[in-house]
Amino acid sequence: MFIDGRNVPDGTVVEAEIAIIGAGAAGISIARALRNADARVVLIESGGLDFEPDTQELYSGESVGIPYTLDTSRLRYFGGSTNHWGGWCRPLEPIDFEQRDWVPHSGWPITRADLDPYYVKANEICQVGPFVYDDPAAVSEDGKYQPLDLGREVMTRWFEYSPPTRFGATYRQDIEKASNIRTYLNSNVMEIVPNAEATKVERLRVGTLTGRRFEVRPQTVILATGGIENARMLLLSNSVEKAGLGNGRGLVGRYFMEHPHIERPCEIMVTDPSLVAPYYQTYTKSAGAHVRGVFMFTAEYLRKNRRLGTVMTFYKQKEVRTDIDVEEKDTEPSRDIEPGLAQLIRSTSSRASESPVLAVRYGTGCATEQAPNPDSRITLSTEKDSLGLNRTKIDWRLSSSDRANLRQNIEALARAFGAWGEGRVRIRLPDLDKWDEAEGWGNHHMGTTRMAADPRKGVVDANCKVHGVENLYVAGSSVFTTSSTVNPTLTIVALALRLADHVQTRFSRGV
Amino acid sequence: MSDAISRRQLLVLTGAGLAAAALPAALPLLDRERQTLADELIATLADPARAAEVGRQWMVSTERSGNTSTFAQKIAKRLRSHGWHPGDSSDVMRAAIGARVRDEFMHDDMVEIAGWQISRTEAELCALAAASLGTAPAEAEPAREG
Repeated sequence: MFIDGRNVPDGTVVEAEIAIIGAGAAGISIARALRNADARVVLIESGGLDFEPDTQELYSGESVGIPYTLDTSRLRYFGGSTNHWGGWCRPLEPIDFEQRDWVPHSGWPITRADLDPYYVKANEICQVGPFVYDDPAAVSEDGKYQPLDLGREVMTRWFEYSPPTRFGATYRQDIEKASNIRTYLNSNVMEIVPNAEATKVERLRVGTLTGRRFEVRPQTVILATGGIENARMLLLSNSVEKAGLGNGRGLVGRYFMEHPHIERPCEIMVTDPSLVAPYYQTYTKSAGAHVRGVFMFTAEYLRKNRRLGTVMTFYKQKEVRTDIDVEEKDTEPSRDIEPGLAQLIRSTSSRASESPVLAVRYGTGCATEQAPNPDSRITLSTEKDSLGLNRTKIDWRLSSSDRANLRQNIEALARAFGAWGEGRVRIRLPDLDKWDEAEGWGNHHMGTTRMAADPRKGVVDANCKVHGVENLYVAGSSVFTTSSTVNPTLTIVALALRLADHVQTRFSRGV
Repeated sequence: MSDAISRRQLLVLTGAGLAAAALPAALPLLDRERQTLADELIATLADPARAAEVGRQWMVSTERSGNTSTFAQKIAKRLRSHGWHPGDSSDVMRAAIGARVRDEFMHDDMVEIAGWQISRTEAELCALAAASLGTAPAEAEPAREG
């Protein structure tokens, strides 16, 4: 059942076993998983079924670090940011969960194996197709295509594409028809109010932009409002704990991470384009899925060289020819030596070209991991939104070592292509000693309610329960301890399904 | 006189043969041999003129100079560790260059030209071509005392 919060009488008290705050990828996945449970579920969504500028405006805020757009990097209506999701899916690597002694604050309290069964289910929910992320044979089209043999440092891995699933549109009926779920639209949780000791949530204060106010009194609360808003919501819940709920150690909002995206950090020249399988260059249907081959760095390389990860995509840019292409309006300097370089590769690795086409130049894109940094953080601004709540203040920080790491990974790619023999790499990433402006990012908001077994090191435990608050859970990428290099949605859904299992088990045991 | 050679003669001849085999490594090459080596190395390039331009740009950007002899000897010295010897066929030389280049990439021995990462031997082959075609930056005159 869908209920418009603007029609709920002031002062109404809604009772429920489980309240889920936020109807994005995580909230909808959990609600769907609980749709046959013997529990009353209330799903509370700030927006309606479509985009509304007034509601979206609640996302505006202040950026004081690396310039970042708070309002356009997420969406605030039923389905959440899946309404503009690009659909890239891939599980995190096993090494991403490990405590790496060269990455301060790394180490999840769970492993990849803990998530594996949920990744398979998440693949179904994201309508992705078979789980063939690491299987070259599955995407070889009967042996026709092979990944490039780039040695021990660089590996080919595959992303799979969701259509992309718009969770709001795709799963609306499942949620609307579920007899145990009431969805309150246009309803903003304004505070999660705990008991006097701040050890248990008692109620949720809910308001609408039209001025209605009501309460939800749940036994269990799951906060699923996104990687930035989850932290803001806890910080705003400060009527009992002045620093914010679950923030006794000042960790809420810290460790904000993104995936810095760089357009064309390098170019790759390959003598023979037939060596480059189609899946590297664009979405390719294979093995019942839409796949894209990317370059990643092996765990062996990351450990040996003490590096963070990077994902690199690859697309055809231009043929390198002996005859001059007078139409080319290329502002890049030194293009004139490219035919010479192509011939140089051919001198040592294959025969001289009979045709004017000597090689193909490929462009790249990359997303890279940033090290967790407690000073990269979300706090509350002094500015207020139209509900009277403090807006978000974001202070995103990247370090010079994050940038050096990316540069070193690109150098490893250059080594790999050179050692392979048929390719060479041109590094375009400027070698700067600081990183105070991002060329781009993935709209991936991570780390602000990080997961750690030790309450001194994280906001939630391995079950995503807020340390010290017995009935409050957090879902979404804010629980990521480290960011990995891949898009977070599949992991958000996998973690949400695991959390739904946990909550359901607790209820079945009467906890 | 008998056709048979004495044990003493055999030892002398064998010793001379061993010494001859060791000559290329032990003795400096004659000018003519250096030129032949340079020509053989340049002949492995698919397009020496374009390679020369790459070499010229590398030398200019790194303020490097050199002549055919120095580049050819540097490269030849490295190729010996990859199975090439003076007098070997061009196919052997080409294979040794390929192996050397891949080895340099694996061991991070790269140089940069306009951002492109190539191996040191590749860069020196290009510089050799530039020196041979006379497009390399001129070598500085040695400083004179007094």
